[in-house]
Amino acid sequence: MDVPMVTQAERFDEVRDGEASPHPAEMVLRCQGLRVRHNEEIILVGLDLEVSRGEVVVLVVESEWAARLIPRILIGVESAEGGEIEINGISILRLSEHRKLQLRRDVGYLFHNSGLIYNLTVWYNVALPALYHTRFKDIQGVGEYVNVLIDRCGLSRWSSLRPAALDESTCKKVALARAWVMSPALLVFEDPLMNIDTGSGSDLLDLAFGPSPPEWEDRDPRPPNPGVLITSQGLHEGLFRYVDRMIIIKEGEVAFTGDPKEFDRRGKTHPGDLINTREAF
Amino acid sequence: MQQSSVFTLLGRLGARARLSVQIISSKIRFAFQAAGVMFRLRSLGIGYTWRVILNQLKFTGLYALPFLTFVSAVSTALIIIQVLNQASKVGFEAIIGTVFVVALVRELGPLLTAVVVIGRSGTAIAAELSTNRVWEEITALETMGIDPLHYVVFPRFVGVTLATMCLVVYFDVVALIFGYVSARLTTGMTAGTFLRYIIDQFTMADFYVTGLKGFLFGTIISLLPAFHGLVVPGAPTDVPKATTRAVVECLALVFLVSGIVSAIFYY
Repeated sequence: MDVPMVTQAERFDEVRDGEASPHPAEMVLRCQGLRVRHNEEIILVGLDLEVSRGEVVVLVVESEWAARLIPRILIGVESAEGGEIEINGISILRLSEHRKLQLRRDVGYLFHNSGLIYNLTVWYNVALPALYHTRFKDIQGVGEYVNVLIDRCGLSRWSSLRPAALDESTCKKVALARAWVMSPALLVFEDPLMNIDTGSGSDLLDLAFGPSPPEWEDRDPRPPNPGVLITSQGLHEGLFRYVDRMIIIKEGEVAFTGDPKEFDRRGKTHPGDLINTREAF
Repeated sequence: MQQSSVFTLLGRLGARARLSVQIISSKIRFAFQAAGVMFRLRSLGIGYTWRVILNQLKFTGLYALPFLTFVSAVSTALIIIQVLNQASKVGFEAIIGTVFVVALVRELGPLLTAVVVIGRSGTAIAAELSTNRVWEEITALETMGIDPLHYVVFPRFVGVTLATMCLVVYFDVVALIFGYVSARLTTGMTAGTFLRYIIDQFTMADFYVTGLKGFLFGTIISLLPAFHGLVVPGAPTDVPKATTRAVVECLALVFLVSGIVSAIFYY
C-alpha cells in the first residue's frame, strides 16, 4: 500500500534545518521535562519518557483528565506548559499545524471513547485515514487491506453498520483497527480499558498485543513492531501481561518506573498503594 | 461617585468592544485559513474529500429544489399579480419587465434563495459540526493526521457555494415560468409580450450580480456556520446556541452584502 508519509528526505531536511535531532531510528517517542497543568491541577511536573519500536509502555496516572490529556499533548493535538516532545526524532513543538498533521500519519491513536465518526459505517471508519492519505489510484489496495483488518478484528458482520448500533467494546475494536490501518510506527492508547467490562478489556488487549492465532500466523495485518504508549487511570492488572515498562505518576511526579512484573515481585507493596485510584482486573 | 460610575460604564463598553473585535477578527482569520486550504490543494489534493463535496452538493442543491420551487413560484405569483392588477388599470403592463428584473432577479431571487439555503444547510452545518466537536470527532480527525479545514470545511465551502450559485439561477428560471403563468391568468398576456418586457430591462450586469451574489452568499452560508460549529466549547447544550448564532449572523450578513453589492452595481 503506497501511503504518503514524511519521507526520509524531508526528515533529513528537518535535521539539517535544526527542526529535528538525529535520533536512533528505533526511538519513536521521546519527551523531556514535560510539564502539564489542567486548570489548577498539576498533571506533570517534568516527565522524561522514551518509547522505542517494539516496546509497550504504560503510563499510570491519577485522574481521568490526565489519562486523556497527556497522550494528546504527546502527539501535538493539545499543548503543554513546557518541555520537549519528539515523534520519530522530529521535535513537534516547533512544527506548524500542517506539519504536525503530516507527522501524525505515522501515529495510530485509540480514544478512550473510541472517537469514531458517527455518520460513517464501521468499514469507512477503519478506512478513513488510509482513504484520506492515499492517492486515488491506490484506493483499491486500501480496500483490500481494510477488509483483512476488519476480518482480523472480528468485525466483518458489523462492517456496514454505523457505530451507534454497536456496543462500546466493539467500538473500541473498530477504533483499534483504525489505529492500525496506516501501519504506524507509534501507537498511542488513551485509557483503552475505560467504559468496558473486564472480559471485553482482556479481549481488546489480546487482540492488540497477544500472539497471532494460528489462522493468522502467516498473514497477520497488525503493524509490525510498533512502539506503544498506553495511558491508564489507575492500575489494571490485565495490562501487566503485555507491558514492558510501567511508569506510575503521583502528584505529577514519577513514583515508579520499571517492569510491572518486577513491581509485583516486590511483595508487600501492591501497586494500588502507590496510586490511590480505581483498581480493576 | 458619579464620575467613577461613568468610568465603570466606559470600561465595560470598552471591554465589550474589545471582545467584539476579537470575535470578528477570529472569524476573519478562520475565513483566511479556510481560503488557505485552496492554496495548499496541490499538496493536500482533493483525495477523499470528493465524497463529502458530492454529499454536500446533493443536500444543499438537489434536495432544496422542491422547497425553492415553491418559494419562487409563490413569491413571483404574488408580486406579478399585485403589480399587474394595478398597472393594467392605467394600461401600463410594460412595467412588469422592470418589476421582474429589479425586484425578483436582482434582489429577491438571491435573497430568498439564501434564506432557504441558510434554513436548510446553514443550520445543518452548524449543528453537525458542533456535534462533531462535542463528540470529539474533530479531535479524532486531527489525531489521524486529517486537516479538519480540508476534510470538513473545504468540501462544505465548495458544495454550498456551487449549489447556491446554481440555486439562484434556478430561482430565476422558476420565477420566469410562474411569472408568465401569473401574467397570463391576470391579464391574458402572451408569452412573447411577457418575454419582450423582461428582455428590454435585462442588462449584462444582472448576470454578473446574480453570479456574484450567489458566490458571496454561498461563502457566507458555508463558512459562518462552520466557524460556529467548530468553536463550540464541548457541552451538548452549546449545539443549539451555536446553530442559532450561525443562522442570525448569516441572515444579517447576507442582507448586508446584498445591499452593498446592489449599491456598487446599480447606484
